[in-house]
Amino acid sequence: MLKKAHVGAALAALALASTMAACGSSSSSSSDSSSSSSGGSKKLNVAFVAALVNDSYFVTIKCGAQDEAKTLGVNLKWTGPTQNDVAKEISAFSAASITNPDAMVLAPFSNTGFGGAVRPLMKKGIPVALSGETLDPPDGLITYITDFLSGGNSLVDEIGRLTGGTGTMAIVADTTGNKTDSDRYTGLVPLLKQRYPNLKVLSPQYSQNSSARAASVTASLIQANPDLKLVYTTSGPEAVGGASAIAAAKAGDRIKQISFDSSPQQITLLKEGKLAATMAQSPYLSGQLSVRAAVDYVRAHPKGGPVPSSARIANTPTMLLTPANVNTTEAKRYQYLTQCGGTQGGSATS
Amino acid sequence: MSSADSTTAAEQPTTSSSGSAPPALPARLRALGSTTALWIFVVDILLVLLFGALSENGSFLTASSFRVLGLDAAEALILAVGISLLLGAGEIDLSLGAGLLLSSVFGGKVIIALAGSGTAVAAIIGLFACLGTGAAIGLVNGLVVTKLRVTSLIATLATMGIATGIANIATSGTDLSDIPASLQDDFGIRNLIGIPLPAFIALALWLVTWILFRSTRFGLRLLALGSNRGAAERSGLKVDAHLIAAFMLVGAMAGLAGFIDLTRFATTNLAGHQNDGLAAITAAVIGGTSLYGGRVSLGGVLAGTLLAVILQDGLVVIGLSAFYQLIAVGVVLIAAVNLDQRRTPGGLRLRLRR
Repeated sequence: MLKKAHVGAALAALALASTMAACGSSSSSSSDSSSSSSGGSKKLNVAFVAALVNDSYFVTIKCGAQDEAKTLGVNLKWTGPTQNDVAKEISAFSAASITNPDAMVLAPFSNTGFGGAVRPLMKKGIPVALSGETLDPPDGLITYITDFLSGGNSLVDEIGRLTGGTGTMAIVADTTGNKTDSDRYTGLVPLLKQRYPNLKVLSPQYSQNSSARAASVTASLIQANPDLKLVYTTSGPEAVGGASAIAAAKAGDRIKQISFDSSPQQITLLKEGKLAATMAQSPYLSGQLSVRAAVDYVRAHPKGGPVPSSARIANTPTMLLTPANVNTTEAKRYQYLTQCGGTQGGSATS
Repeated sequence: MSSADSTTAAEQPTTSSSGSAPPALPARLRALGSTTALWIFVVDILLVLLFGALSENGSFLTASSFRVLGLDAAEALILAVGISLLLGAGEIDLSLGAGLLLSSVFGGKVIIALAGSGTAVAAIIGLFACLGTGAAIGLVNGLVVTKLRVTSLIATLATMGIATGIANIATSGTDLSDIPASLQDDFGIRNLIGIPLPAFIALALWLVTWILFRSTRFGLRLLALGSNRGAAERSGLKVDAHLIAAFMLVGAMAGLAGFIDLTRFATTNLAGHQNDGLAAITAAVIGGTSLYGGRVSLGGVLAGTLLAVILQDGLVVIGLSAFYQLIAVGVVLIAAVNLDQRRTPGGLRLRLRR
């Protein structure tokens, strides 16, 4: 019988090895190694620290950053945590900063906590450009951030259209204490109250980035609120959970869903009619521009010296994707990528 | 009953009744339907009634509300049932959430690749891919624990990271799309005579495991391993083989949960399963399963899982804001376990004295 166990073990090990080999080949196309390092003289090294590397928003940022690095002829090192955790991102940033980069880009998960790591670098002459979130106080070189105000306004219009300004609306957000997430609803709620005083907006519930949790929260909200008309989910995993819960309750006719972001899953939901609209950001452009800003600064200041911090903000555009416009060329540029390369790119500049 | 046994008999390396089981076992077995489980069930029922009274128009006490609870509990129950096998044997598995995730990734890839040859075929082969992936992770866990002599806490913490890493590499860090939506309607969110299909499956697995502990030699031996490892070894029990089998079974259960997750959401959830393993352990321990081995309460596993789901959903239904929910959950957990401790004084100390 021992033999039998061994055969089973060998088979299972073989199965694991073969599946691992299969996945290795599929991911090889998107390896992290940056653009060619064969350049003759000294190439600039740029370190990019993302907030969550396993998310299509950041994968798209990475594609923009990589392509821009190639264009500018610099090396790009990409890093970041695999969990929503500011502390983990701060340590990833510190680790990246001790590799002696010439410039850095940070896509912070939180507007606080990074100052202590960013300030000394800037003082040393290493510019830190920001993508997706401001720092408070503004310790970085420049911030590229989504235009939440204009994005918010078109969301408000869409919410009015879907609800008629009455009934109840729920918010299913990601995590507490996460400003990149709360930016998506804290400004929205007062706007809604002002425009549609008869629309009841429930206080946000949180999903901890889990689709299952988002589904259970949405299902409970459907139970509790017979006049629920709209669920607003603040990113991809929440939208997936919300859609599953609405479908399980067979309530798709009376309860609509809108969301933020433009992950492949959200695009699928749009096309299936399980999502009435979603607010797409332009991460590809944000990756491009923030790398360019950091490299431009270094090249313009060959002598080094402390980098002045600035509250300068450059807004990147948004687009409200709906089942009606999702297949247009313009909308396609706003859809997030699952891997870099090819003709996809979504570059809004070039 | 005997038909259920046959599934486990295959895992059993010995078929003869080699060596007598440790004498303490019958007493341990009685603990299967422990009073702890009963008390947590009482708390469950009280909470359901409370939330029913506090919810608008008693909306928490409706059939659709119970369906929601059942669907939400399914994956958690499968993981909790799985962990009870290992806790009983005195081992732990922190890699359950990662196993669920990696299984859903590989299963999803298989389903996408086979989608052309019909959804049913793709789903069935995808299910086996999920189960196989989970079992393979379990095998690695078992081998690391038994052959490399790494304690299961550290071994499974390590494989948790490894499995999560592989899942992210395999998907380049983005959740899978293109899983047929019909899979959702036909399986993940399907109701069978008014009960969510995933809940059915979870309950069936719970029942089979209950039988396994109650009346199979394999279950008995797992408890013996957890109760007194040295005695079990001296009485001729093949410790390593049993542990490896247990790890593989638990891994396969995580794979099953992964398949359910996949069909419920028609995608994976790369960053969303970090807490699943710990939640399963918590549910089992609250229900009276010992963290130190030798004592398993399947009734408690069910009651503990339900407690977490009832709290999670009920607090949203009564409209408590998210920040207060955290406090309420903490208070109820302490109260529930304290209620049981009062009832059975020294319940935990009994274990520690040995």
